[in-house]
Amino acid sequence: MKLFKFDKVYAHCDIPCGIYDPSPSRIAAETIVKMVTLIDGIKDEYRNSPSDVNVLNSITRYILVKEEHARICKNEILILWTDYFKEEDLKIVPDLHSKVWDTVKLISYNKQNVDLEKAKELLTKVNEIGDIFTKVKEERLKNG
Amino acid sequence: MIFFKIFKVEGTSMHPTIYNRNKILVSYIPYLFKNPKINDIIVAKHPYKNIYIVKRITKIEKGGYFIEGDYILSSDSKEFNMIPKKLILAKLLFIF
Repeated sequence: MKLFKFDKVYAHCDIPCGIYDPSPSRIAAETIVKMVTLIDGIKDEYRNSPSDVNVLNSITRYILVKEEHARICKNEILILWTDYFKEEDLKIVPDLHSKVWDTVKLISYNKQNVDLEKAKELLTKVNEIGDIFTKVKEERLKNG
Repeated sequence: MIFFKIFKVEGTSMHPTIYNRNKILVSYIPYLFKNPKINDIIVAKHPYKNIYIVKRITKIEKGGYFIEGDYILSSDSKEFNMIPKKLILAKLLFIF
């Protein structure tokens, strides 16, 4: 039981402040799955004609987009972790830290590898963090 | 009438003077008798949102009070311009 409850006074630094959303991380994870699927689809063609500039161009673009969205995904997850979630949210989600840790490690794996199963696993984990975000937000609204 | 109040600070825009989750004791008395001064740390009503904010007064002009966070990233008068005196409620006394 809390003996004292203090009103909050804000010292915001973000513009726009206090607006957080898990959607960018989900879109980035979906993009990673899509890029891995495209790389998988073109890899035989690349193996057979590695000097074909068009094949080389396509595969380079897919890798570039995968890399960029992995960076976005990691950044967005870390923003939620450091700025949105608070210590008291651990009461609602006790394993929050390990879930975030596993997710960002999986993002790194997806940067280093082309592995459709792991890309899909990443999307599942990112969606899970999105669900946690919604749950925490609902709890905060309930508690005022 | 409230003369003193304790607030819990949320946010980092007043680093390194006030840290996120610090508590502050403020007084409503000083500005009943005197105008706020440059460098005062104040609690004010946000001009557009229904929240209280803590900032430092950095400029005083005819149009009102320019308030800023101590940290380089701050949502303050640079964003919402000067605020009138009527929005300035209390003066910071103590951080803990």
